[in-house]
Amino acid sequence: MLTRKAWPLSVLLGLAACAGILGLEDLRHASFSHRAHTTLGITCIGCHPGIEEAGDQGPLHLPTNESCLLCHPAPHDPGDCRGCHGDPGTEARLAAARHHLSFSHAQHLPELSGNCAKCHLGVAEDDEKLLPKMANCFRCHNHEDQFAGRNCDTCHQDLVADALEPSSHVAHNEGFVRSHGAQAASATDLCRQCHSEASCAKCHGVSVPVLPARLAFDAPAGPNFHRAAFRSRHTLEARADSGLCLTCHSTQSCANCHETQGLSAAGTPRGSPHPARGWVGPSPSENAHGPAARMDPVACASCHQGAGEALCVGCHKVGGVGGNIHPPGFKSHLRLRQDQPCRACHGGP
Amino acid sequence: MNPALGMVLAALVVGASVRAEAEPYRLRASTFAESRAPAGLFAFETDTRLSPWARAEALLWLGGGELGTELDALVAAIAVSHPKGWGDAKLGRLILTTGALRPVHADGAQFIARLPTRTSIEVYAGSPVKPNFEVRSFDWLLGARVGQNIADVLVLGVAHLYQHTAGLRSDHELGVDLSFTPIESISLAARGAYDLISSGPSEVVGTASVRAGAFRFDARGSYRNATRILPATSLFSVLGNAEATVGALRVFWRAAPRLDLYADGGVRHTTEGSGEDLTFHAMLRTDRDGAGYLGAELRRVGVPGASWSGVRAFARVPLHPLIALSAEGELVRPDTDDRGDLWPWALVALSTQPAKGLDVALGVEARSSPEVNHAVDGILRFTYSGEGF
Repeated sequence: MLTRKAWPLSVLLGLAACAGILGLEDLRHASFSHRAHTTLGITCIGCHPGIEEAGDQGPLHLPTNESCLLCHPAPHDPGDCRGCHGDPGTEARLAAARHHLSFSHAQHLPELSGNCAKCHLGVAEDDEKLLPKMANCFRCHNHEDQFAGRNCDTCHQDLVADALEPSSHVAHNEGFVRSHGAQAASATDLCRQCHSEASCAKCHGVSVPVLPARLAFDAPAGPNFHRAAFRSRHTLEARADSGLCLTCHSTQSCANCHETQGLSAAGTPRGSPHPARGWVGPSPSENAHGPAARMDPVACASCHQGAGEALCVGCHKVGGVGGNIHPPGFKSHLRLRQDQPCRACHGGP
Repeated sequence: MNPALGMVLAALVVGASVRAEAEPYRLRASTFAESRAPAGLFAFETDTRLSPWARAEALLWLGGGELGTELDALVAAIAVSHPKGWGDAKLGRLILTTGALRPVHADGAQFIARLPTRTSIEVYAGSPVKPNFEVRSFDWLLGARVGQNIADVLVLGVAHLYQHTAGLRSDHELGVDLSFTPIESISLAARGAYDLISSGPSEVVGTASVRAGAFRFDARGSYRNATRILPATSLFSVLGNAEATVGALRVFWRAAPRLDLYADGGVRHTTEGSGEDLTFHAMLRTDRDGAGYLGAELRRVGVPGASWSGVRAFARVPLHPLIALSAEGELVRPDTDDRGDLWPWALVALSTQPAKGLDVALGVEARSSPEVNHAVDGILRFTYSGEGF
């Protein structure tokens, strides 16, 4: 039991813990503070010796223990200083950038009069912002011609292989999967600079064997339409925006799955997806299949395509008991007696 | 030989023969198995840069399940580019995307020319892909797009697609797309497709995004007519009024460096009436790199005939730098009771990277759904990524 005095203390401790988790303060380890060092007048090259001559290849020129010992002659631990005071995430990002980018510090430093902060803008404020954003490059470099020609190789070694996620341009934010269709329409050419055919085909291919969300079942925060129990919800999702499914899937995709599940006339039927009563009947009130078909014709087409259409035409043919299925004002440029599906009803003898 | 299979093999052979300055092939092989179907899958993916101006890639899969064994290729393509970016050409099994028209999976070729006037011209032709290398005679498609970039803030495009299925005209669409980015924090994009067979819009989609500090506002709207999106050869394309209209606004707020919140509210209108579509989402990253996180989501869809409410929670906990535990659960309550009152679902997974390039994940899934009263299944994924040849 907490006493009355202990409550405020508990709340304060809780808030402090939350602040750490929220990223307001990193409690994981005492990371290196660039700000604390630069304000003491220590130059960048003092800790990163050799960076001024670094070309496109070679080591990262991260500080070694020797660099630290110049000012801290009595370390509290004989181990590797960066092991505790360096952020492994930052080092990994630096290594990735060295691998992916064509960049020479030796070429840039003389142009900038040795002022590293002109590119490393955030280094004095936040040790999470060590790498310059691409937008910084455009403050000096005009890459208009490369953009126009979709030629990114001048700086990026291989964008398709790198699978980098842009942060400063064409940012793929939360909800990007939902909006990418509209954005990609005018920028397909740009998308192709990073995305291979396979990255599109994994969703838009005709014969996708497993949806990407299913494959990434161990990453539940991943962006995707088909998260969690989508298979149970898919009927409802499809009815709420029926044409959306056809953006990626053909009706054959639905038919294949329904056949596997035994929810199709093909294969070995184990059940019917239709309600037992009121689906097809003699009176309008007992014909739920009509409104359902108008709400989600894709679902109907996925099972009743081709030969299955005969089931519909049996009642809905000209003069049949099913009546006219066309809405008022219906028009089509298909030829009534020659083209499918018109000729199924209107072909006549 | 099956022409589709021949084209895929030709792309692979050409890719293997043009390797004077080639980089190593990047390889990715995945095995996926689940006890639910039961189904097993082996997928093999590879790509390489044959030279600074040529790239080859392939993605093939072999699957086994209740319906038997299937082998298919999702991608097998060669792409070449002009060194100065004046144009590209692709050959093989591709996803053909041109502007406002929906992506088409086809065996064929695509050419892009970029003119100094910032005009791009794309042309493609081929045969739509049929699963398992099936080929149907007289299936072909032809499409094109012309795009114009104006002052790097506006892109306008016009696209056209004509497709025959089994010798019959199945799709004939005209599309218009635009993208407008006046400043970096504001972007608008829209596309619309018009069905020339039934003379009406088949799909119109638009998004607008504004960023302001820790907030982002995304508006989206769409109109889709499923009967016009269906191939014109389908009997269900004559129902003529299966329209769905959606309008929504999302407000995203990075409330703290590791806490993301968003609320998404919109209205959907279908042939059965209108209803709300609401989502509230929160995610807290438990470390700087986002390897661990906790999240929750509330959802409500009120469209008549398709209404439901649900809650989803998920978490990923790094137990060790190479091992992570993830869990996800969802509870859905449909408004209609003819398919059960509640649909609970949960998945717990353990994933590890025991060595460089290796990734293994094992999961257990439990559910009660409209299809089954209750079920527990296992899932396994094993992936190897590396370089070879």
